[in-house]
Amino acid sequence: MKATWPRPDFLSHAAPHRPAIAWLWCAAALVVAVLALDDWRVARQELDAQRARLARALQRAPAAELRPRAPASATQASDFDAARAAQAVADRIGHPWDQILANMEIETPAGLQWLAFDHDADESTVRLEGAAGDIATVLRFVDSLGDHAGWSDVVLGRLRAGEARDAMPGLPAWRFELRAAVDARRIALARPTGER
Amino acid sequence: MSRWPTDRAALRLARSRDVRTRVTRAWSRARGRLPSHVVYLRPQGVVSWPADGEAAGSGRFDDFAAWCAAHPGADARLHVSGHAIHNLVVDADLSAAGADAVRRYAQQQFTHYHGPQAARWPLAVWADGPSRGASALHGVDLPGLRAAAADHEVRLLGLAPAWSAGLASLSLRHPEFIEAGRHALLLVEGGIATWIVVEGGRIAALRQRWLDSPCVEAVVRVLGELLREGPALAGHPVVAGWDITEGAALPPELATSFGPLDGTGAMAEWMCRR
Repeated sequence: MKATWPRPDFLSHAAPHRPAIAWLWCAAALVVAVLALDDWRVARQELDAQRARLARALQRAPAAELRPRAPASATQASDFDAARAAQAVADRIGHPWDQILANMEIETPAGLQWLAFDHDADESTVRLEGAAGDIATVLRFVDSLGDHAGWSDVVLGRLRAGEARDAMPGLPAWRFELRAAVDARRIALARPTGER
Repeated sequence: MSRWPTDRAALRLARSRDVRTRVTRAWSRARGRLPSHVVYLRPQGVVSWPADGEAAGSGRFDDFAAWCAAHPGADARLHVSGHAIHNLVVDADLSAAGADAVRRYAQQQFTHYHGPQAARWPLAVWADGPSRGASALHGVDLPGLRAAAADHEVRLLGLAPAWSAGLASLSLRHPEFIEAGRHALLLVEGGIATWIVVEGGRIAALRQRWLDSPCVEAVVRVLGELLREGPALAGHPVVAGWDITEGAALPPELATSFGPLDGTGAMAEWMCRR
């Protein structure tokens, strides 16, 4: 079975046309190949030299035992974890409980009673519940507590009036709840002066 | 003096546009986006078809320069009518020689028969198994074709004799041409006919005959002469062609028809390999 018929071509005898861009590509490819070859040769020499150095070192210290050890990166990671844990414990021990309570105490006006205080040394929020005779007292306290170093975002969360008077006769009329963010580090730094 | 910077700016603009066009074309060509055409050059003018065959229909132009102007940046595969071609099949004892030897021999033969101007004709040599041959381009100005193509950035993919264009179509429709036995085809291009004898699937002979007039009687006369000249064929010869103006059908007891002979006939099917 015949695959092809003859294809005489009057143009085929002429010099084949190769565009200039093809030569440019060829030249670029050649340059890259030469550079890669040189790079490979240098790397190879370096590898051989290192192997020779290693062989010499092993010959010089034949008695030294090769002890298995944990990879360097693992050691570094465990050291880092231990340091972080120690820092966390130190932070908890040094938490400025007294300064936080003192700040509250200084700013608590007459006629304001505290019912609840909720704060965790690991967290930066403080929740307070209290009772006051009027709203202005509560708002003044909110403003003045926010002025202390380390205290921020002091906001009144809930305000309730009325029914508590019948249940607990001695308590002021308004029950409130407020939240604040505390920065233990800044509060601790403010301790020596004891001022705002 | 005042026109000088304007001229320079215009020149630079034209040049940058030219560069942009060339880059766009090179990119399209690299992505296979440019249309390719089959172009048939004959004394009456130029006929062309899109090579992909999807858009059927041909275009007609006065000459190749006009075709190039209408298809800037296109690819063209050219086929030349037998009017501008001389053919030669090399003797069997020279068949083992290389293409250069065949080329030299063909040049000697053409010079011997057609005079010293034949030494300058472009040659196209071919090989088909043990058969070797050469065609000479005498009626077409090849540098002129190249210049016209270059003017409109047309890329010439090939320039072949028209008789070689449809051989694949022929063997597809008449499989006996690639089997054992002696078969023949008469390709009629208006006033000239090319007789192709195929033996065992290889081209064994190529001859050209001028018709007295482009009519079926002349075709029948030439066919009769050719059949008498050579050894017997294994079957009826096949006749393909176009531009036969008088009488359209061949006597079926004489030859098998590849297609109609009048008008453009089987021209598109012969030229465009499907």
